[in-house]
Amino acid sequence: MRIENIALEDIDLTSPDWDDFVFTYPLETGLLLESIRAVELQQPIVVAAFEQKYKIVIGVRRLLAGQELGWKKIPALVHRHETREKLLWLSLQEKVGGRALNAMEKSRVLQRFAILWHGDIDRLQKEICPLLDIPPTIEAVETFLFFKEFSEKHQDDLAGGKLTPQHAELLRPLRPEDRRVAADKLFGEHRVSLQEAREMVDNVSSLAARDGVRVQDIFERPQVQELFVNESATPRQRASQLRTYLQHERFPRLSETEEKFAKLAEPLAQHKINVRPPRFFEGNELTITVRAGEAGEIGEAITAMQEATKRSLWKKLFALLEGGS
Amino acid sequence: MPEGITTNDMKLFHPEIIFLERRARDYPMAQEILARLSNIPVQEIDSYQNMAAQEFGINRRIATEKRSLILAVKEGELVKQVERDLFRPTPNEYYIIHSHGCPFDCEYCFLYDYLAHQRPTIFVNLPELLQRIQEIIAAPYADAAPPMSASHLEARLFFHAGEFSDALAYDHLTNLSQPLVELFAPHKHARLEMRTKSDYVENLFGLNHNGQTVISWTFNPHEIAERIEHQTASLDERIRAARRVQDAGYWVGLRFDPIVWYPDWQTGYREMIEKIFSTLDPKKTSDISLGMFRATPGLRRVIQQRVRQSWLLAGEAVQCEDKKYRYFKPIRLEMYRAILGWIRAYAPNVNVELCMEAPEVEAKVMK
Repeated sequence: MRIENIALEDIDLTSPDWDDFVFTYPLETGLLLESIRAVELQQPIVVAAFEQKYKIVIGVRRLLAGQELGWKKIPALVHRHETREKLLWLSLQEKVGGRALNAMEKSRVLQRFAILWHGDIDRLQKEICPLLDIPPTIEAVETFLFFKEFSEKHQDDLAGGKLTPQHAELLRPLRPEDRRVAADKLFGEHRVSLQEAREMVDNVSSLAARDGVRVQDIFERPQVQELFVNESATPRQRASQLRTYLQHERFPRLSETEEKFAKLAEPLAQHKINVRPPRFFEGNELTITVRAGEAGEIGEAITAMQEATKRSLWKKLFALLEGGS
Repeated sequence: MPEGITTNDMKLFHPEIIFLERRARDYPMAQEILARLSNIPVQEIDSYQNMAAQEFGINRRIATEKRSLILAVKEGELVKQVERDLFRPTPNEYYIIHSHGCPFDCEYCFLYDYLAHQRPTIFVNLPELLQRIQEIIAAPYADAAPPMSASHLEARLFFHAGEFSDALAYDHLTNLSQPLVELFAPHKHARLEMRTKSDYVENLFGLNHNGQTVISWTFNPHEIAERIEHQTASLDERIRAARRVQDAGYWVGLRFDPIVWYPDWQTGYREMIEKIFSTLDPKKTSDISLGMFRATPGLRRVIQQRVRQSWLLAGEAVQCEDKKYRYFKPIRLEMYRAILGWIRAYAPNVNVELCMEAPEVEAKVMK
């Protein structure tokens, strides 16, 4: 195969399927443009000859840089009479042999092969997942395919690592129109941990289910809007306040019980007596911890506990464990 | 609602394709089912085990799987002793594993987190199954733990036919109810429970059951049945079927399990109970069980993936000691007490029990 100088106008860059063999995302030419300006093109692109035009297989950013630089022709290795599958493999092998693929590029690889193989999940798991360093499971494949439904901004965030695939996956159960709002509000300014993110997405979608509204409507509530216009708070603080708000709204009875418990136990805390309920008030035992730095403090704690007995404080705390109020 | 699912228009299960295990081919039950479904294409397979549909999207996978039927030979235990759980000792109860999976699609079903695939699978090695039940019935049982309920029978051994599948969902194909009911009829110390959400009860009539079989229905308000229990008989259809069965002399069990919190649950459950007891005779009701919706983390994830904004996830569910999610305890107590109160207005003497519930909750509800 020899290198040919082909006209840029003969390479398809406009039809809906011009990027059939392209996995690169995003298609920015920035630094590459400067490099080509400085030392010229060091490597030919690879194209495939189709009926009317050539299609780019390898080197899409070099091609776009050439276009920006106003070239009329570009050196290219031209494949003729190759199957689509062979061309996809060629493009993929070149890609995985270089830098690590970002999440959107992995998504594109899976999309292209899923179309080619008519959704043969088994083959995608066995042949493609190992090359992309993705677990060979249906769930993982579906997660990466799901990214194509994201807005351009969030696809950029995924490609740039601002949004992790694990965070993005959490948005899948939401309605498409809710995903954008949820991603912006929940992960937009401050990246919360995956566990926090899961809790927030769970809470907001459950709230929407309970109240019969859209997720977007939850974010449009005045209390939530206020959080986002509060300029005195940092993005981290805003995320934390939102998390607390959602938790409180989602679990009103639990929150109320927790508050009652904390209020009742507060006088004991002054005597270094920490009283904790079982997790979520499931179970029937309190955990009581006494801290003391000297013998006298132990006597004080015992007196405080006896006082608590006289004031029926323990009964009230145990009543909360038993579902009382 | 999962995409592509229509609801509460129960039709008898009629698969689009049958997968036949080679070793199952010569069993009489397989032959009978194939004869009843003679117009359905049949594909031979080696094993029922690895039959998950290879399709994108959990709802599409489940829908595809539930349109098929596997005829197989059960590997391993045909009758399984109920395992002890966090809340009680090993009970003297057994699950009869006549099938796996179910043509119905109840979004809360634990089988979505338990089975590797959801293809309805009928085990055709009936002679071995009946033999195994006979062995257990014939074995000494005096030392076993006391049964959960025996309010109306002398039974000490309890067999459930609706754990890994609905007990009657395939009965139009298998007529399994006949040998099971007749097997239990002469044994005063053994009780069979066939739990269902179907209204196909035709095969039960004319059998000599001798009062040893309880046909039980899971009931939920029609809003829940409509939104969450797809392909099942409607609330009214279940009640009518239960009445027919009572009229045929069977005991009927009422299973309010899972009870689901939703915004208007008080009205829904109160009206449902009124409706049930306006048709059913409490004196022919064997027992009633109440169980609050609970979900393993795995099942919760399946529900999240399948249904956007499901009512199943709307209640205040917290993770309990056994890792399952249940409603916050005061909510459970409130719901149990309310529902028990409505039941007691119609059926003051019927034995009521809670399922899979913490002892302190049970004690507070039942005091």
